[in-house]
Amino acid sequence: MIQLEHVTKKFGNNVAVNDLSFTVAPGVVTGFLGPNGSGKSTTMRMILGLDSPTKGTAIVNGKPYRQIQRPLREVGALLDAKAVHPGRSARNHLLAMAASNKIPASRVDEVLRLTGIDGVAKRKAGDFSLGMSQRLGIAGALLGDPHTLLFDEPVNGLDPEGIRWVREFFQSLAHEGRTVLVSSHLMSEMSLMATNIIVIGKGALIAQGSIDDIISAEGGGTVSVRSPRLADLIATLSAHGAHVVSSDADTASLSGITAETVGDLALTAGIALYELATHRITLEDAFMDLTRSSAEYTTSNEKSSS
Amino acid sequence: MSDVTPLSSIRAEIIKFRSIRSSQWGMGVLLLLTVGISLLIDLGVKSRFAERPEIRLGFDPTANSMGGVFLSQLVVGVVGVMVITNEYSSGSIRTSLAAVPRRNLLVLGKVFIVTLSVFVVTEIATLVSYFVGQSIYAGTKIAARSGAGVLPAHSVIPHTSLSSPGALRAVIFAALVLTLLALCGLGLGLIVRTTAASISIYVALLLVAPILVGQLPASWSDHINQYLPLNLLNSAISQSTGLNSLSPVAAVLTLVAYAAVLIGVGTIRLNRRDA
Repeated sequence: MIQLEHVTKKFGNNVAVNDLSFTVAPGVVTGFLGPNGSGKSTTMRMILGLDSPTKGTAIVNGKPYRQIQRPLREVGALLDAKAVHPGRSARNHLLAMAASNKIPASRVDEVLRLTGIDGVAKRKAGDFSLGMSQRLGIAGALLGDPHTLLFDEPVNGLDPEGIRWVREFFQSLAHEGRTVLVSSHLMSEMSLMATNIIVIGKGALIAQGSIDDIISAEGGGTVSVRSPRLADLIATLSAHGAHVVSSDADTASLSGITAETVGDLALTAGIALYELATHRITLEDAFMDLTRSSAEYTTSNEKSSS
Repeated sequence: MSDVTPLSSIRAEIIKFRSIRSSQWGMGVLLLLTVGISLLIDLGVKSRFAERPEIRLGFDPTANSMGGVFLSQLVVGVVGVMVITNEYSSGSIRTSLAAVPRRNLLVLGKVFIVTLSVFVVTEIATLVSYFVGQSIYAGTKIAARSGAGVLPAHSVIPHTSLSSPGALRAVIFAALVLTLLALCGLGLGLIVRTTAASISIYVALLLVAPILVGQLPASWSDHINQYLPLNLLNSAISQSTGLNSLSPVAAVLTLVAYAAVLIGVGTIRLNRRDA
């Protein structure tokens, strides 16, 4: 369980995290989303006691991290896969971590096997690809078999097989009842991996909840229809709350109405339908809508279309 | 109880220190440089002792045989600095502090590994230098020549043994001073965090400070000079305490105070600042 209560972090005059409160519950993977520079990594550093909040408290398992008696056995974290001394072997890196928390060396070999890097354990971490470094970082997070796990952008640099492994692995960790917080900017990946999400922008909370709830709160999606009597159909549907998103000669895209209602109304009105389809918006669409105003770096194209 | 104890932090730091090439190189360079430079100085003394009165004047065989330690002051500073700054440059400090959230314990582990490794290596280096030097001096016959009347005929260069007054103390204090200088480097690294800046400040305190102090009025500079790091090593290993210089024990205690202040300030900063 991770709890943030009114956490604010300022670097000089720059507000990196602004009055952020959320709770990460055990049992499901929670995605932590936000545009670049939105404060995700700063928030994770505060959860781990590396940065101190300017205001508010970050609590892990009922305590500020720096007061935890058994840090690696309670909380595992991957913050930056490349944050390993480049001249030290992967195994020695993990052995030093393990020794600091009285974790036996046998567990080091276990996590090396679990993450599939046992074959390269004696190589210098500086020679690792980003994907191998991510696996080493995940191995470090798992060392103490902790109940709470934090991963900052863990799928960066992984190949498709690695991404799939991470997804299934994190989900299995959550199913074992652990708290799993994963940040990412890859929406499609998050929609596959996470059950709940927390969205922040410019350091402030934008949305939190289950992915399904957030997508339906963002309008759910659109219905497209093709009909020879499109104008008559639209007139009928508009009377029942539909909004035309776009239309041309014989097709229209509508929001605020379900495909079932469109079908029933068309039948009642005696209008033929050649096509009828539901287009659910993706998490990515919802995310773009939610964060458009708060993105740190927007392209001019995005600005003109919004 | 708690997983993270002073002992567990020390064990982690031992693994970290042993597992990177730069610390192995540092220790090797420290050993070879100390012994090698000492030997070169010994050979210079051997060939010129008879004809150079200025070498004979106040010749201190014990301190002279360990002459390499003066250059080693630079090496130990770099070793001490890098034990902490390489964690910042690689980013591994965040992994280290997540594993050891009580930051005083991280400092304790690093103080331990620096003290242990530098003291052991420099003690071996000074002992080897000492014995090599004394055997060279004892084996160098000086023919009495005209104009060298102070020398008895067929004598050898003055030399000492570890049982001579002050000799053992000098051999131990040489390693102790180098260890304390390494700890000063560690303290600077904790405060400054970047390798280049920390080493620059260390070198400036060691080598530039004497030049600046030399510009002060003599009544001031004579007093301040004795507390400068560069002069403390000399005071700590010399058999005779000169005018305006500290006794060996006072010199070592002064360095203990420097190291304690630097590591103390560094630890406070580590505790208060974001990692």
